[in-house]
Amino acid sequence: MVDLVTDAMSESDRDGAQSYVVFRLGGEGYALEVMRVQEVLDVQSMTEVPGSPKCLLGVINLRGHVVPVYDLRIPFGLHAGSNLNRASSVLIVETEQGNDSRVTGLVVDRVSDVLEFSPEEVQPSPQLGLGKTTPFVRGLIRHQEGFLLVLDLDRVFSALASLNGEGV
Amino acid sequence: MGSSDDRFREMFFEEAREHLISLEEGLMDLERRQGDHAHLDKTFRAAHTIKGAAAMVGLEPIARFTHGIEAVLEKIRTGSLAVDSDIITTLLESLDHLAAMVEGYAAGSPVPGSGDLSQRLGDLLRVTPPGPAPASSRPAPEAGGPSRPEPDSVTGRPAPTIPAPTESPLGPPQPAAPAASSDDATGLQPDSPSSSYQIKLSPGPDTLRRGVNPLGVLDELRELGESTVTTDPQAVPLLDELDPERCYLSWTITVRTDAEPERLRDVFLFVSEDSNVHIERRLVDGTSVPVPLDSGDQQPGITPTAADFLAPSPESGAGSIAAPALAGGLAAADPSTFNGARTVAGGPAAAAGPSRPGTQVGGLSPFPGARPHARIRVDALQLDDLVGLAGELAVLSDNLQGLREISGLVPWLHALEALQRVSRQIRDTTLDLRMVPVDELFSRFPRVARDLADRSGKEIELRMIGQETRLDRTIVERLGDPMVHLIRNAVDHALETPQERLAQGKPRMGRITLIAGHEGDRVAIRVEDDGRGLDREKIIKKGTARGLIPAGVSPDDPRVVSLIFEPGFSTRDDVSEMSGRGVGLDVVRDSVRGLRGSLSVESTPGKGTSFIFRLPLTLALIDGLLVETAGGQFVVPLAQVEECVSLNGTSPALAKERPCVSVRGELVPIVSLRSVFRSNGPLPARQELLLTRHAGQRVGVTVDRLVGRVQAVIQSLGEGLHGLSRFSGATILGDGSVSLILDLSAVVTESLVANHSVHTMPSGGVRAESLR
Repeated sequence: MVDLVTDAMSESDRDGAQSYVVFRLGGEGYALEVMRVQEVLDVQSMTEVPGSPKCLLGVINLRGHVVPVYDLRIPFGLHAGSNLNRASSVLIVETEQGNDSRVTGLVVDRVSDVLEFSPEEVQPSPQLGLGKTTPFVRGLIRHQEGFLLVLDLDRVFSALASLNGEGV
Repeated sequence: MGSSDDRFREMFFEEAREHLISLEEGLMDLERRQGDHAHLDKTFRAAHTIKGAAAMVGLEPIARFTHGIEAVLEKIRTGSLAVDSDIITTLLESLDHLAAMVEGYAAGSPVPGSGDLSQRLGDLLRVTPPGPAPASSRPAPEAGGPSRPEPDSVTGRPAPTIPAPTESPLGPPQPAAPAASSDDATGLQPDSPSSSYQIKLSPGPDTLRRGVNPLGVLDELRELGESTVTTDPQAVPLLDELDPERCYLSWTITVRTDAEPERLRDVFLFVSEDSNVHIERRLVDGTSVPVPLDSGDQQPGITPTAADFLAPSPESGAGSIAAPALAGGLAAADPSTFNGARTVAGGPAAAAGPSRPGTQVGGLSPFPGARPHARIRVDALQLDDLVGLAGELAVLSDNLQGLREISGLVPWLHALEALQRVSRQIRDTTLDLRMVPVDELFSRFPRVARDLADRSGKEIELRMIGQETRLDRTIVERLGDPMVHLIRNAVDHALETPQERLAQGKPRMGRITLIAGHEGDRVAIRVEDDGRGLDREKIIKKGTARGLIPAGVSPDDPRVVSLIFEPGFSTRDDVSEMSGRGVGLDVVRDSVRGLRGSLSVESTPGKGTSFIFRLPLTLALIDGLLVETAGGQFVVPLAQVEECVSLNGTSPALAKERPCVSVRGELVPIVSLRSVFRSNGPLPARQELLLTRHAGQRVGVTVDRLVGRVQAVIQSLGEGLHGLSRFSGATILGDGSVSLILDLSAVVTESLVANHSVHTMPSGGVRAESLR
């Protein structure tokens, strides 16, 4: 994870700025490095997995591969009551666990944009004040009227993995 | 010198790995059949091939080290070295080291030093041959037993025979060899500090093409001592006919050197394969004695020249000198030869002590584990079949093209039928390519057992049955560690010491049996021991204390033994002292589940324990039954379904608090998939019952509807969902939707332990009371 941060920094040093996928989830704006996102899909038919943790929405067929799709609202402590609406999108992201990388889907309310921000625009995240999201946020970007939360994907996934491990 | 082309090295590494395996098998075999050396040829040849090939690709350290192994093998083969388990241990460790060297070079990582192994190999070569010396005709030791070579046979003898490497290479005549004195008489001067050799070297025509430079040989000879070289250009053709890649020259070299004949032969290591090399030693009286060149490859199986050379025998004058000389050469790195000799004689400490460089008992010897290569060997016949089928497919597609003109359904139907047949055959043959005999898995265990026996002081007989059973390659590869784990457990905890066994009227030698065979469409692999068996009382005590089973459960309850698979069930506490199972068994079971297999245990107190792996034949594809429950479609492996029965609204009877139905008079407990999934929809009027077998008992699982048969290509659900054992994977159906693959036996287990689980409520009367 430390590596990731330094990687991102060095890359932005070279290019000056880094692209982020900006999306909305449960009323908040989030940003995720574009490098981590393989593609964005519309929600298609999904197969539920009975008995799986709540945050696992199901599995989808991504061009012949079975890919699990997670709902981040549960680990983020956001209101999960509203069902996924038609406009929901799935971010297909690649994660590395141990030494094998796997592809995972994350449901978000809406992908709004892909924007470039320079490293100076990314402020360190506060230690408090973001509720359950705090551990998953690496920084803040001031954008338009509010803030975008820069997601730390690796922490998100280690949280998801531990949720799965408990089998809840 | 040798070509260092990466491609050749790659080939060498691959070949070396194979030869290492056959070397290890050969050594284990040798230990089993002491005294019968005939089969050693193959083993010897493997070593020889590694040596030659290593030299070819310029890996001289490997060639040199292998040479030591080969020399010892040769000595065993000719009967001049009696095999005992110490020797085998030394050889096996040398093999481990060799494997480590090979892997080191292959990975480009630092190659470990040989430690004292070269020395120990050298010591073996110095051991006096059997014959007149009474010490060397010691009885064959029992495997793993305390019988070690008596110190005097090693430390006592070499004193007069081994010259310090720095002085005379020829050494005094061997007292044990009657020929020695006659050597003196014939004018051979063993004390002469240097001797003169005449060497004729005629490289084969292809020598240059192989990347070997004969001039390098000449240079090396020059380094050995004063030499004169004459070149024979007679065979060189006219310029027009000259093939620049062909070697036409031959040389005659006279060398005066104090190096051992062994060193001289090493010079020709690289060229000897296809060259004509003739070495003669000039004697003082003007006559010459040929020095045979080690050339095992040209005549596989029999290398009388090499044998003569190494084995002191009355017929071969040079031989009786060469043996100690060879030994001296190998020990040259360390002049303290007597220390070395004592290492061999040190008995168990030397064999089992910390002086083992590559071996970790119970851990994996480096090379079977280190085969991550995706390259596989394929039966040529199968490949031919596939090529034939591909041809048929092409013809069929041509036929289909032609059908476009034709109206009428019948020709189409015929073509479709043919297409189906061919595609099925292609599928089957392709899948078959993935199958390997379990022997590939089993073959490493004799070594494991041997090391364990060595370490634990127990006597172990390992029997293997059904090695020809074929299994998916991935399973065979991944089953190694779990099985090693079980074998180690059996030796450490289940098998008693020889004394205890005799006291109980059991044979002295503990027996571990590995049995592979088919069970329905699965393969069962059993790891059986005849040790003390699981201590059920202890397990119950511990299980009750941890709240895993209700108090007062009977020791015969099948749940008791399966407690040993609970995570962290027992490590260093009371259970492990007595019956000790359970150290990481949950890990073993999880890894087997990852292979869509199961692990169960049977145990009889005092008689032994069996662990049974049940594994699918192949991982890639299953025949499945598509079922529907609570709105979802699931694939059930057909292999798990014995029978399907309709349940027409009959409310199940309750027996022992769990619902049962009567199937043709037999009372069968049922598990509702809906209640396992905790789905609360209205029950359909009619349900289907899938009858499966769980722990030897028929159990029914109810589903809403049968949809049909499918062939499912299995995909893993990923790490995140391993906690959900009820699904063994997922597959994509014909319509593109994803369907989960249900593991019926996990579903049944889940419902049995429902009352222990946090997330599954006991419902519908399904309670985890005894099934029996």
